[in-house]
Amino acid sequence: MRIPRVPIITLEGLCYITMLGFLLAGALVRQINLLLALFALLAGLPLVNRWLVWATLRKLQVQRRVPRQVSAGDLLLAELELKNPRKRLASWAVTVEDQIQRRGLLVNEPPIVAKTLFPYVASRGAAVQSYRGRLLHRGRYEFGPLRLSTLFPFGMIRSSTTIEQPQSLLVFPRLGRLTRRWQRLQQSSDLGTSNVQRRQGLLEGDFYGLRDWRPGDSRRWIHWRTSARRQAPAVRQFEQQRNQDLALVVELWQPGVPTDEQLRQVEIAVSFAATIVSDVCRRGGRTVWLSVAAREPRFTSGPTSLALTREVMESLAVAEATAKDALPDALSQALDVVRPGTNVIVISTRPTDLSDTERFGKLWRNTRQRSWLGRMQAINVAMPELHDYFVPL
Amino acid sequence: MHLERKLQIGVAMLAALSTILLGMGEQAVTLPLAAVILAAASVYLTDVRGWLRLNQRVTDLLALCAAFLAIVQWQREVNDAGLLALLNFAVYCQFVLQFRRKNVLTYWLLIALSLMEAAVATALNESMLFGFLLLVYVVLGIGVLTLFYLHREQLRAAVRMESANQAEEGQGAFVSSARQPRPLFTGHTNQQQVDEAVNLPLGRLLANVGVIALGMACVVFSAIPRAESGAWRETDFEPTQRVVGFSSEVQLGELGAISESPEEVMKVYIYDAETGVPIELVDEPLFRGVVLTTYANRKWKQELFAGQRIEGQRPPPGTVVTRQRYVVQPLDTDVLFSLYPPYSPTRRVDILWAREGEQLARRERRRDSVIEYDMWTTAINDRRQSNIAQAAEELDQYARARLLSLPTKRDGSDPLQGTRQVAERLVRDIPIENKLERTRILANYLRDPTNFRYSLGEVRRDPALDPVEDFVTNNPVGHCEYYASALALMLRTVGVPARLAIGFKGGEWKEDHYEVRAMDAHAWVEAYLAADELPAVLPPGFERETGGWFIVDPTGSVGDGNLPTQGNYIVEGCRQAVATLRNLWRAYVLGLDHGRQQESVYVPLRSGIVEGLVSLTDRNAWKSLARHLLQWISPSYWGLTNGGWFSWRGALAAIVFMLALLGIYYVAHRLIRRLWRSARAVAAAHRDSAEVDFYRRMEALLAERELHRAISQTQREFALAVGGQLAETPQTKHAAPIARQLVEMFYRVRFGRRTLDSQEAAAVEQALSELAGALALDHGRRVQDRR
Repeated sequence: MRIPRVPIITLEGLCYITMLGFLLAGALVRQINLLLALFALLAGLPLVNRWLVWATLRKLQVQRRVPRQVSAGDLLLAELELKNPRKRLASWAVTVEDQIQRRGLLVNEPPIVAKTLFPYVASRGAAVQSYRGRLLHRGRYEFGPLRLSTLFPFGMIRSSTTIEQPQSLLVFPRLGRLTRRWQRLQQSSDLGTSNVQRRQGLLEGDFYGLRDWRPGDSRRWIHWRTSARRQAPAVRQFEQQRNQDLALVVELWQPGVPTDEQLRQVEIAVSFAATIVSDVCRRGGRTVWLSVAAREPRFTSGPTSLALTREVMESLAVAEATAKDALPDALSQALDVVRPGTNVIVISTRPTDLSDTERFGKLWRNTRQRSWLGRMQAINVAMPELHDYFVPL
Repeated sequence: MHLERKLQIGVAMLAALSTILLGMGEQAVTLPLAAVILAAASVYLTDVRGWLRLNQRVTDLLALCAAFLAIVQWQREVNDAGLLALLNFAVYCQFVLQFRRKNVLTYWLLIALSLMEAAVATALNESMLFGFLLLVYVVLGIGVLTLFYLHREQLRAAVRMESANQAEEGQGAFVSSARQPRPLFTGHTNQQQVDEAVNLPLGRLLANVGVIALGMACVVFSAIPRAESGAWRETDFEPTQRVVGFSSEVQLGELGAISESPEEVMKVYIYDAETGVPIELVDEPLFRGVVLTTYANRKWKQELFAGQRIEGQRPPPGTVVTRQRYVVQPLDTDVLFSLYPPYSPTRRVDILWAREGEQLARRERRRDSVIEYDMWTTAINDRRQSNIAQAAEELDQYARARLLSLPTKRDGSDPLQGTRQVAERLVRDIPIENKLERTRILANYLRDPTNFRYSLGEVRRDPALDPVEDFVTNNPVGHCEYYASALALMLRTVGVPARLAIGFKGGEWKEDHYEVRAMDAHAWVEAYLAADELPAVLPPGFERETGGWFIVDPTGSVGDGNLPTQGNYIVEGCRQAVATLRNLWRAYVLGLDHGRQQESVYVPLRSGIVEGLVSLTDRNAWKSLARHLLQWISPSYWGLTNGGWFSWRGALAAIVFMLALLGIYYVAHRLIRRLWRSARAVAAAHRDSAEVDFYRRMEALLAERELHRAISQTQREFALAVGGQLAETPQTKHAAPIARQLVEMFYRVRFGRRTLDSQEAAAVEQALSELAGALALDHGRRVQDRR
């Protein structure tokens, strides 16, 4: 839907009109016809400007193209295509303003305005311009409306029209880097868990699917029938139950009036959890459970895959911190479903004492869950030790 | 070439042009020349090469010097010293600014200064060349303003991009707090794209803008009402209009074309003295102004004007008296006009009467006001101006000798030898006593277009010959002054006393008066005939004793001889066009005052509207229109019945007619198509809104239960998904197919353009109520479960 706005006179336009006023006054007072002629020659220009700004924006169509997903801090490149279906009149110097606004219960930010200049769009033609920037915060962003404006050709009068073209984009949490120590920690028995390595099947593991051939794959894995059918080499994949499953419980706590540091810790906790899940899913071969103790508790689980990564990222992207203590419930929910031998990690924005029978009374009263409490690992992102495991970017 | 380079060149040209305009006004050459040189130098040295760029301190210092210089000039100048000094200061500042590194403010200042210079220059100069340059200035200004705007937009985009890049570089650290600086988003427009925007379509558009602006300027200029009081004058030094073609002296042999000015000189009302009925003469009247008697050094001169206050005079008894009323505009001459002979009905203190030559003149040299006066005359008989006028007194020997005098060269030889021989040859068979016949023969000889050709154009005369001698013997082309001079001198060579009369001939008849314009200026001859030389038949009341003046106009018809003689037709046409433009410039640009505005703009417009409205209800007007139309479509009108198969007039008319037909077809086609589309759109919107309402109701029902259609879903996909969800619970299972059924119906209506009959409409209503019931049942169960 197009909503044209009333044209406004710019500062330059006002200056010009003032000058015209002086010319007219001079001509009338001194009775000089030539000065009047100069005034008459110049007086038409604002009117022509008024008509041209209207004609330039008339019938213009604009379309926005944004990527399906992006991580916070990554470069976002949005394309705008401006179409001019008019038969004769081209468009010059059209500025397209797009608005980007983060949505959320705790978010109260003014929209970000992205401006793009289209110097020229031929009649019956189209031009593509892009704008770029970095969305620094995770969350759901709404795009639009688009505002087309121009002052062409003299800059005296601005005309604009608004085109409602809503679009949304989910910005995933920013990923950090896990340290070698973290990797070692996950593989060692120091964590208090035992690696259960189950080697089954004839070859490297149980067959569970096919995938494209990659350099380094053994020729023995090639599935010849599929390769012949697809005209491209495909290899069999085997499930190796060598890795531990992972249960991640993320507590996003912050007081009612948080400090900057506390806000930052929430983001680090989210980023840390997102990085772990991303890393685990990239490696594959595990089942992951994610329970988020936030304003709206979220629970996600499944075997490692791109789909799971996306699901976890979506959960973490919109997770908002809370002042309530949602950890015991989230932990209880996760421990109900995790398999024995799963590596359970609690990431919190505050110190967590799992032996606190008052806070975790529900867990201590459940015999099955109580057995997990001694084996799970709690990480407080506010502690400097975090940097031994995780480097935020 | 980059956009900014074009802008720099444009601004430099604008600055130079405005200084040239100013220089034209100040009558100075140095300043415009310096402006052109400095503008070119600033583009090359400062903008292109970057070798010379003044910093802030040097600029300030130079501006101080300019101010000092301006103050010094202020002290020296006499007229308008302050204004000129201020303008010169503006020009100096412009020079200094041109050598600075240009930014938006610099461009603004340069454009504003140039506009100021051009505006003030209009008060100092009024030539047509100046007007043309002013038009060029405005056209150039339109281009520069556009380039400037594009440049500003490009700069803004570049600044946004730079800020975004800087912000990006500075945000290496982890950003997580909501209170971090806001991210910057910017468009990515490169220089090349902006440069490509300055293209041929832009040039075409700006040309159109220029034409539109010019058209609007014409309307605005002629519509702005001029004050009734005060003079919208051409210059401060020339308060009255100059009568082109009329002067109280005639200089022959000057190189130059006579321009035909449409400026009004006077209105003449001629009416019967007794009945008061306006009289339109059969021939063109000769309004006599000044009489020139002495020809020497290629120049006709007036005798010393010794006038006295005019007294009331009665025409001789027995004559037919006609009354004249003159309304003469402010002119640059004191001469007043009348049909010859004039008699003043009353005593007038502001009008002088010279017995010698019987001429009228203003008493006071007040040329800036309109003068009105009445005269009697005996010149009109039976709506014709008599060519014999009674002399006030018989010529004495001195006067006769003066009217027979001929020029002589310094060596005593006759400069008009050839003229004399021609005249003598023509009248050799006519006795010397028959002066009337001699005069007629010589006048007819001059009037014959095979002998002489009339031209207002520039005629190159032989400098070794007297212009009249050259005209008669060598180059027989010239205007009325040559014809009249030739006749007067030829008459003198054959013994007929003659003098040159200057005034106006004809004018345009406007209902009850003659409107005489500057281009009606004319010269003719008055030959004296003594009592015994007068014709036998004379006008009633003519007193033969004092003799009479035979008024003879030897000038050939303008239409049959107005041919260029030197150069080619194009050059002559251009000259005439320039002359016409110049006259229009003077009359309708510089001299468009209250009266002229009323006369040429408001009154015709008002009367046109009124007459148009009146003619709408006038049966005769419609009949006249029909007659004209019938005339237009008759073949004879287009020259097709003259025996030929081709007529230029007919061909032109056919082309115009076909083009008009094509235009009408094009406009009608577009109009009908647009109306058809809008009618269809309105009908479709109405139909859609009425008939697919049931689908909206279904969506609203489902939305209440949190079932929303995704943007990517079609209506059918949505119905399938809804059906699946409803089938999952026993309370809504029976309603699962309803959504699908309703959507199928919707498809038939919306895309199949089919309407629902009454049975189908009832079925739809039934389905909707079933769906609503099922959803309500499910909702109740959910509420119960929660409890």
